[in-house]
Amino acid sequence: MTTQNEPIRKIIVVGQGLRVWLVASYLSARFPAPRYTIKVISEKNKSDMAEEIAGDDIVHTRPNIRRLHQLLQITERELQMEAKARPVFGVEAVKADGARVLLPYGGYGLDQAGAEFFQYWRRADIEGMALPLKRFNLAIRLHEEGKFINKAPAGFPPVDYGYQFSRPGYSGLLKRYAINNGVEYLGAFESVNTRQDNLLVSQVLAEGNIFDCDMVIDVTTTLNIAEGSNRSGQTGWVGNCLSIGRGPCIPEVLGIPEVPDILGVPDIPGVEVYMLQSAMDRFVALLPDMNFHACEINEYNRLADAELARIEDMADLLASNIKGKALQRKVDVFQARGRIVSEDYEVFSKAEWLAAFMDAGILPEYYDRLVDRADTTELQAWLKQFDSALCRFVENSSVSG
Amino acid sequence: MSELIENIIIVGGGSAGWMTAAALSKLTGKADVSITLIESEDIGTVGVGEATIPHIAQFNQFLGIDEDQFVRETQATFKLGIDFIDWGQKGEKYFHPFGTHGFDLEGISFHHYWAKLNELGEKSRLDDYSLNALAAHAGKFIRPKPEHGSVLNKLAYAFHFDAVLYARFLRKYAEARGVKRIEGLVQDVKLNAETGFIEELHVNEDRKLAGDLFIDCSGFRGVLIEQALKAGYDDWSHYLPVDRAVAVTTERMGPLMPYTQSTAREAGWQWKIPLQHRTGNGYVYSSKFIDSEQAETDFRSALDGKLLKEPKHLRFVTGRRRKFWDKNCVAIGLSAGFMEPLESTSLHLIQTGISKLIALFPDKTMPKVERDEYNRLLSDDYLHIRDFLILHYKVTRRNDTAFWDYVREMDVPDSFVRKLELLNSRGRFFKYDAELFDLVSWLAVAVGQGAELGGYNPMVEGLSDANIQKSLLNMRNLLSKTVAVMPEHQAFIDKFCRADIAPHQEA
Ligand SMILES: Cc1cc2nc3c(=O)[nH]c(=O)nc-3n(C[C@H](O)[C@H](O)[C@H](O)COP(=O)(O)OP(=O)(O)OC[C@H]3O[C@@H](n4cnc5c(N)ncnc54)[C@H](O)[C@@H]3O)c2cc1C
Repeated sequence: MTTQNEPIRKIIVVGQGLRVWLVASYLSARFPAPRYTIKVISEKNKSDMAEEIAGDDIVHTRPNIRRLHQLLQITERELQMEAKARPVFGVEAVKADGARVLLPYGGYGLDQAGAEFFQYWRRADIEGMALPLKRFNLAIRLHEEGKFINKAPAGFPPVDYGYQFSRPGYSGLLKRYAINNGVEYLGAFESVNTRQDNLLVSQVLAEGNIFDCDMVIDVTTTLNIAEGSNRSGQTGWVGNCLSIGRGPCIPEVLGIPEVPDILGVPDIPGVEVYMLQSAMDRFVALLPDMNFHACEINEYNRLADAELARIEDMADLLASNIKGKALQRKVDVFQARGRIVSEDYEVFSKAEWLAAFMDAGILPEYYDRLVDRADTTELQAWLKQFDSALCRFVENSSVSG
Repeated sequence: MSELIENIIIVGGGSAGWMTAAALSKLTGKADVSITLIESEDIGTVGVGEATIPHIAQFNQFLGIDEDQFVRETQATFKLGIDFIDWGQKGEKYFHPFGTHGFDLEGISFHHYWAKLNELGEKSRLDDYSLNALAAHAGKFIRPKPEHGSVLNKLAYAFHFDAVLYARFLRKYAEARGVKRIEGLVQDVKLNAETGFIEELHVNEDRKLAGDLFIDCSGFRGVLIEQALKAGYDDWSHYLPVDRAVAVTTERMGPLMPYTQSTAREAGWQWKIPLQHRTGNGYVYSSKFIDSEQAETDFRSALDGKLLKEPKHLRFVTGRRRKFWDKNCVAIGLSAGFMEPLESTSLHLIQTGISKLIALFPDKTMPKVERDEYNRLLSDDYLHIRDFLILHYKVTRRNDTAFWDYVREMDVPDSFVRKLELLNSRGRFFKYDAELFDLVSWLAVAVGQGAELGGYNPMVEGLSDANIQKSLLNMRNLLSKTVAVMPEHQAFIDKFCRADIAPHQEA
């Protein structure tokens, strides 16, 4: 076994604000200085925090963000003080008509005797029991009552939480961590030089200076250094450029003709940060060397495409625009008997899909045959008891900081 | 409410039939669903299928079976993985363990450090980092429990059991929950002229059995799914060319090993499965490369205990049914397909079929979306497993017989090529959500059979060479110390779950 192949050492991240500092801080923890150098370049004609300074924007994150905080060893206190962190048990997605739907970070009720809770609920529902489903979701209740718990006790539906942050505060906090870990900020982007032989980006120009690089990670929304002819219009990894999140590209960078009609990533709160973080997870798992093997790049893109497709499915469902084979199948299977199909590389949990289905008025025609075994009065009593136990528990939980 | 299924008919009383009957009887315990199982003693069962993978424990748990009682009644032993002999090359061996290899460091998978250590010239085997492999080779076993701490809990296990006793065990369970058993031969299947649904079965000369849902567990015959409904079969013998087996039970010799042994032979491979009362053996081969007489001679010459019966010859075609669920009939077991027994996946596929049927349990109309979804999920399971089985044949350096030349050179599906390329390039592996075999398995087999990883994740450089050497040495020490304090497999069985029947006594 030999590795003459040189590892990549110099990574340049191009972008703006939270996007760039989230990726840079992540990388700074995984690729420690001085062995690696991570440098940040902001978008053309902008400083890195240009859009963050004044805004009182809020950014949502999904539960997996806590892994980033662990990696960087950011404390809860810092999150609260600097980023005005507030734990959230779900996110409210805004639909086309302006209405909101809460996608909860925790399940509905508890499964019993081989059947999902939802099936019991649906049976009771068909039999005329009126308690709404969301009453059985601890995450939703905590969210609505503004309460906080770390972990659900046994006998209650599991909950998980992400955070809501002040965007400038959170960007600043991550920037501080990145800089402490040795990341350097170089100023605004100008252009790139590529190697003659293989079109890999070898240098990036910023503020009149030239910087060597082995790999560029492009998290801009206006630039798309990596936009390549074979993946036009898509986010992804081409050569030594990895671009995350789609945006209108400025293809002149690589002399590629303009690519029209490039869609943005669906605007579901939490998804922007989720995609950046999961892209970095994938990148680290597939970390290339200077040869940039096609099989690794293809695998990255395959996984990224699958993830994006799952997010688009959810966005389509929220927009009541059921297209796409996978989403259609999800809807059909759910409508038949309330079963939620899990595709490969899902992003959203079953509970979130269930919430979205319910909100769209999609209900199974019938419930799982297995729950017929339960006695009607016992079932009703069980649901009532469950509901009041949840009520009591939430009442006694402490108010969210 | 009249749409609800009232009558379930299961054809077949092998492992598939009784596993299905037991599971459904547990769920439909109420009197309004009747379950009838028909089996024919004249035809009998395949009677093989004795090695499992760890998921079987979930099935047992679901049924609420006491594990020690189950081990006692089926003459079972514990299985920590499979010892592969002569697969990569004659004279070589490796272990495919359940559980994991080593411990991840700094968020990077263990095997990248292992590859780095090898590159540094400190060669070690993956087996040295598997608690399962180490325990297996030392003949040790203990049931992991939360209070055992994090290292012992890495042990993962399955069972070897007597297939006939297993069916009997489940029969008792199912009959106690109201399943009716009929001894008889299904001679004719009457289909509805309009819908093509199965209406009734004609059993023996005189009996007619009507039902709403028919489960075909009739083995290779596929009495309902194929003979009646003509669901079709995808033949995979190009990729998995074995198509015959000769099997026999022998007297137990020596200490009870807690693993299956799989030895590559001239035109296939031979299994050895230890049970409490006897040993199961079989030679799985390709009839294109050896005839059955020669196969039996070769097989006999490699057996080490006294034969308890005459060898039994079996034929099959590797592949899967085009539709597992067609009309009002679901095929479970060998009637659904068979990909050869190399990784003990058949009983697992029975279990998956049952759990998916339960999750998608239909009413009398047999909604198309549920059938389609069932077929899609099962098809994926078969495909993923097929690719993993191909790995055992494709990544070999054996060139001593025409069989091995064929499998080494055969063209393989794209899905397999993509996986192997990634793995070979730097030990990378991304599992589909529902894929059965993960990185540990792919790596154990590929590396075990001589694949050379082209490198490792460059991030292992985050630890100094000395640090990696020390960490891996610590892991090896920790694992071997752990194995040293584990009881012998036999002693564990004697203490908790020894069968009543004396050794050598046939079931
Ligand atoms: C060589 C070999 C080795 C194997 N090793 C393993 C292993 O290690 N691990 C593993 O998981 N799996 C293994 N398998 C697979 C395993 O044996 C089967 O999956 C399992 O036994 C289930 O078989 P079955 O019940 O589907 O079929 P069978 O055991 O063949 O049962 C069929 C049943 O249908 C009945 N029947 C058939 N036709 C009619 C009719 N017309 N009327 C009435 N009844 C009828 C028969 O009487 C019988 O009861 C192996 C298979 C083979 C061939």
